[in-house]
Amino acid sequence: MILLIARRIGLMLLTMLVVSIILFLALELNIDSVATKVLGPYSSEEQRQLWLQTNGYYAPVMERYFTWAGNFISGDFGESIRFRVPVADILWDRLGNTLILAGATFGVMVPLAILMGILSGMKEGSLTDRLISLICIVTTSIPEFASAVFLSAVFVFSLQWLPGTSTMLNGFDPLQLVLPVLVLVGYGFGYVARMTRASMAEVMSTHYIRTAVLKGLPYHRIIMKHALRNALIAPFTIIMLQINWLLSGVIVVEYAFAYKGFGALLLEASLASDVYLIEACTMIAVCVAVLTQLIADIGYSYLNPRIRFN
Amino acid sequence: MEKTSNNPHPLHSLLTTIGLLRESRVAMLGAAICLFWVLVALFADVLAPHDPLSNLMPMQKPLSENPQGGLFWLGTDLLGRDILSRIIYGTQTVLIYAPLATLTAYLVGIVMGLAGGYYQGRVDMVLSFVANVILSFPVLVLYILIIATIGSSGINIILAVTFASAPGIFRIVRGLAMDLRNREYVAAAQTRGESALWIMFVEILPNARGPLIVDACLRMGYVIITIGVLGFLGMGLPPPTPDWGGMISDARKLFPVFPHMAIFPCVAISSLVLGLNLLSDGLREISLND
Amino acid sequence: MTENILEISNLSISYFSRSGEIPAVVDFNLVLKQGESIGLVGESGCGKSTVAMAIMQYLNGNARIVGGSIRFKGRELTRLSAKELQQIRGNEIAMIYQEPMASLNPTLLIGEQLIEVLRCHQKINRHEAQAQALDMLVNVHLPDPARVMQAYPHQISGGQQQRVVIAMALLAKPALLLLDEPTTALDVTVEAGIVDLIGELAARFNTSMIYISHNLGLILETCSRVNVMYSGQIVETGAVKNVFDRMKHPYTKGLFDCIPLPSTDKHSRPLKPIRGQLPLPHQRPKGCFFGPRCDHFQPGRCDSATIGISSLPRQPDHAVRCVRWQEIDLDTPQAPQQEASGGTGHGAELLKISDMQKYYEVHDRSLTALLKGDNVKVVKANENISFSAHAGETVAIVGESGCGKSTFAKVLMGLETASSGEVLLNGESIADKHVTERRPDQTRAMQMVFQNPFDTLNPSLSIGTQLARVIRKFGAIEGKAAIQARVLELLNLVKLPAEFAHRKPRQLSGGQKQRIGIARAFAGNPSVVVADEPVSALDVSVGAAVTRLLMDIQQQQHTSVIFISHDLSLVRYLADRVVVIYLGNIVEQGSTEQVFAPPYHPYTEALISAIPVADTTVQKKRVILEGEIPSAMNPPAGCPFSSRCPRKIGSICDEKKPELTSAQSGHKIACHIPLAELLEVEPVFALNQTVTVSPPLQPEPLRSATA
Repeated sequence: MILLIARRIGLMLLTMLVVSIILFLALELNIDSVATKVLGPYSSEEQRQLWLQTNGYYAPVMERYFTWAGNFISGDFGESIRFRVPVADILWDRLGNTLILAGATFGVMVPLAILMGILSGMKEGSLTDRLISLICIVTTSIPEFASAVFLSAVFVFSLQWLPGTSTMLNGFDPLQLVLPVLVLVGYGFGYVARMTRASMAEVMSTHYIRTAVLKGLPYHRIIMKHALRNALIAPFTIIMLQINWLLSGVIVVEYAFAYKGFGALLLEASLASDVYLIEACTMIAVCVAVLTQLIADIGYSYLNPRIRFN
Repeated sequence: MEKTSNNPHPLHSLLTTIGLLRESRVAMLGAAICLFWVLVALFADVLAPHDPLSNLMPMQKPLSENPQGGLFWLGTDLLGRDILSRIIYGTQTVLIYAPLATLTAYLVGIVMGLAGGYYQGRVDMVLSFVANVILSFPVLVLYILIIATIGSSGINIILAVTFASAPGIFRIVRGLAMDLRNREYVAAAQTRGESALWIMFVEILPNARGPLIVDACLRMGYVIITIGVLGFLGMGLPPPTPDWGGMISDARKLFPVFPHMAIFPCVAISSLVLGLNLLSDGLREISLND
Repeated sequence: MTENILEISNLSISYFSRSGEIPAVVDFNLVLKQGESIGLVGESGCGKSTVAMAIMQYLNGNARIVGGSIRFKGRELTRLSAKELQQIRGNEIAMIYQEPMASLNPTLLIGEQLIEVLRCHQKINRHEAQAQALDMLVNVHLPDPARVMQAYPHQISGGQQQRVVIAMALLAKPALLLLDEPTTALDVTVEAGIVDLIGELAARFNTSMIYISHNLGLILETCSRVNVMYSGQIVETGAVKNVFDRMKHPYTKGLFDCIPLPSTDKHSRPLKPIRGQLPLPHQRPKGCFFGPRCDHFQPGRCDSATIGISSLPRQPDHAVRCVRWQEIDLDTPQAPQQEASGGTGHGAELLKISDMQKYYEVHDRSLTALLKGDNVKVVKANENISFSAHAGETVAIVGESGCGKSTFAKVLMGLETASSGEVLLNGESIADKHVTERRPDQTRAMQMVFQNPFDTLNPSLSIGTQLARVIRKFGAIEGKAAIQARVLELLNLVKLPAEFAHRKPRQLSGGQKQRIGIARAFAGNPSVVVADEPVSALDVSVGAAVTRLLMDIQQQQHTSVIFISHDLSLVRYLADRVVVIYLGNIVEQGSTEQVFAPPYHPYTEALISAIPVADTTVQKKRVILEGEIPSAMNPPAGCPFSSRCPRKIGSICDEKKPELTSAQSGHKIACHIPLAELLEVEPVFALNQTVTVSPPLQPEPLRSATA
């Protein structure tokens, strides 16, 4: 078990290393283009060369990578071209905002999805099951940008209950969070619910559930004690991996509602070819994804005694 | 119960497939929705009331009259182009790029997955690591990075989709291949000295087709959404092309005043994805019954 | 006067599907008294498990009881509320299942799963329940019960899991115990222990039992009465001795003719398969369901009206569902079919294996192993395997799961290469040649029949395409028409109609698929065919036919067959020579007669004794092995069998591995016990009384070329 975790952590670090190399090579191998992006298209050839010289860009690639990586690990991400401030100054703020959005989404989505999945999988083919399955299919078919349009049309323009943008210009306003969360939950919960349902349905048809029924156990005990523990192992992994998906969803939603978060920042950086900002944002995103993968793996082995005691 | 036929004709197997679809109402509904959009794409020239590219009358509400005759059923956009016609021609765009991108992603994913699942060992380790690295990027981040680097065009979207989806397909195929390679018919093929290629493509791949078809429908839905998202973020196909995501993006600025400009393309894309999801779900149900 | 625990009368159960009502069980009657055990025997699909589930009131969603009643201690089970059912299940009626691993919850401690039975049915506190559960684990002879309580199911072996399931069933002291094929998933020597335990516990707790099995031998060992089921009906019922000795229904007779008895061999009593196959429930014929497969079928009588069950006048307990039972005589042996074989001696040596070894390296990834530095372990899957096979000869490789017989087959076929030693096929070494390095004529010369009929054919290709591919691959025949002709020839060889060439595997039954598997193996006229448990997944009547077919083709083509099996009665029946393997080592080898008679290796003795025998005239010596088969990763240091041997003579067994020593010409045993002592061991089987009509034909003495 300890070894398994150690190997996972090793793999995770290796993944991060490879990603960072790819990213570095993709964005900084062509130094002239870096200089153009930093100094602008109207800079002169000499200006660019001077800039490259002073910033150590004529050193060998390997050396440059290690300097870059070293700075990166110590928290120095460079200066944003677009915002003209150190990347770190804006990054953490934006990340915090996104954390609020993601946390709220997960807080609503996970309990809702699991509850619906369990109810649906408990008795396959029942009316509840069919209804929930239908809802899930429909909601997962509506992409975030579409549900943002639909929900805004209803709640913002027709009913005028909710604000149409979530800029939070005048401080934090929970009301501005409602639509983004609703959009993210709507698109995301169906998948988790369907996975939970499949897992639950599979468990309910196993022989050990039959054993439990034929032991004469009360129904609630069969569900709570025998079924749930087994049925929730698979969804746990799915939920952890949803965090990776959430990062994608967040970009669309933050853009759609002008929410000042990490996703919008990444998009802005990409559109503006803001090299250092892109690097920082991507590394953070990959780091989150790899970490959740790690937690999912460890959690899966922990929840499953067959792996835990082997 | 089931009639056995002595001459398996291609037409016959097509008919049995349709017969199978009838087992699931969900699959039938999904197939009907998909078929509807395919027909729309095929007969766009006949169905579209206006030219999707010509600027007629800007910012008309739905059902307003075109002075040159006819109705703007769904209104017009900022530049005065008929929204219905653009949606109809947009179907062509989406139904060319999404299946093509899914197909190439599948080609790459299948080859990788079969190799990893069949050979295992080092080959698998390397392929799995590559897949893991790609999958550790949040999907959209990957798309944005790729498109921002290589620019947005039809071919580039196909490339990006292939690059981003192949690892997921690799994982599925690899899992299936690892399971199927332990079947006795694979051992039988090995003991008569069949080559690895024959075993992978004749003994393993055809028997993995069920789950792969189900996944392909689902994945095509994702690809459609992705193309839509890229359009929505302004990274989609270059402007004059009628593209659903792009239409929504264009309409955003005027959304409070003319919500219809965004709503109708949204309905189109959602319904197409819904059709694919229903089809996938129904096919899964049928394959379980079998 | 003993009271009736269970009375089932006129029970009918149907499945409801889109195509309408499909009767699964028809007109089922049964009376079970206190302390009695009744066997339900029949082939798959006969409805025996459906009856058990109906008693439990736990039928599949689309199955329903459409008539009749099930009365348990006078209460009508079919009309109980959910609450009342819950109080009966696990408390008064308990069940033991086929797959012990699947029947236990993988994420709950065993102790927890035991205790909840008591906590749910009796108002006792946790502590007391724990004590009782522990007590019951002692009763089922589990070593270290306190540790088992704290273990998860996957941490104990299959045999131990089944003991836990038995303990769980008996905890609440139920009046009725349903056993649904409780030992089918277990190895023979483990099975023997479980069967023994079930008998012991039923007697001690005075529990009534319904024992469901496809194995007539097990029924004889466990039950006093038996119901033979066919296609949803009881066709014959009565005391075990009456039914087994004086059966009246042609199907019962057919079943007995299909199973090889260890007291006979292929020369004295050839297997007589039942022709045709079990009708699908919605395709049952009118009148007698067995009619189309019956040798005594009479048009007009057997296929006219529904046939009731009638009691025999002098044996009121013995009843049979056959209109002609009084006319037909099942006892006189039908004219013995003259086996063509007779005395065709064996031909040239085709396969010679000497000192073959197959070691695997396994990486132990546990932290302790890594710290100690010995993280690479060697699994000795095969050690010093030596024997040879001749043209026309059947050599059986016998052993339980994990003994290395599958690895051995892989090495022979070239899917793996031997670590050391020699394998000669037609005089040429193939031990270190992977199948891809062998010449086409070498791959063609040795082919394999696989175990699992549902896995042996590629589901996506038609039968004809698959056979044609094999023929083309072997390269002997060119041209489309010639290959097509050969496909039909092969289909004819395995007695299947030509139209099967166009079918897909899923349109074939298990037995038919296995026939295609045989056709495929013989496509290139091989000199050696390796058959890996070819009939173990088939029903007895179908399996018998496939076995017969394999032997017939072997005789025609004078092929050498390496028959890998765990079923000693089948081996006894068809093999010329037997090689017994335990943990990758040959412990005994010799001609079939030599291996099945003293001197025995103690393991062979236990294996033979573990065979359930469906013959009331045979008296069997019981040798029950303790413990489980050790892991091949960690085998005993000395004799591989030392950890379970009932005849262990001392420390030499633990320290030194015995050599294979010759007992007789061609008969070799690897044991430290002196030969003289082994010779004194009495035979496992003895005949109760001499009722055999004719003395078994003395088989042709075998001249082994290895000697």
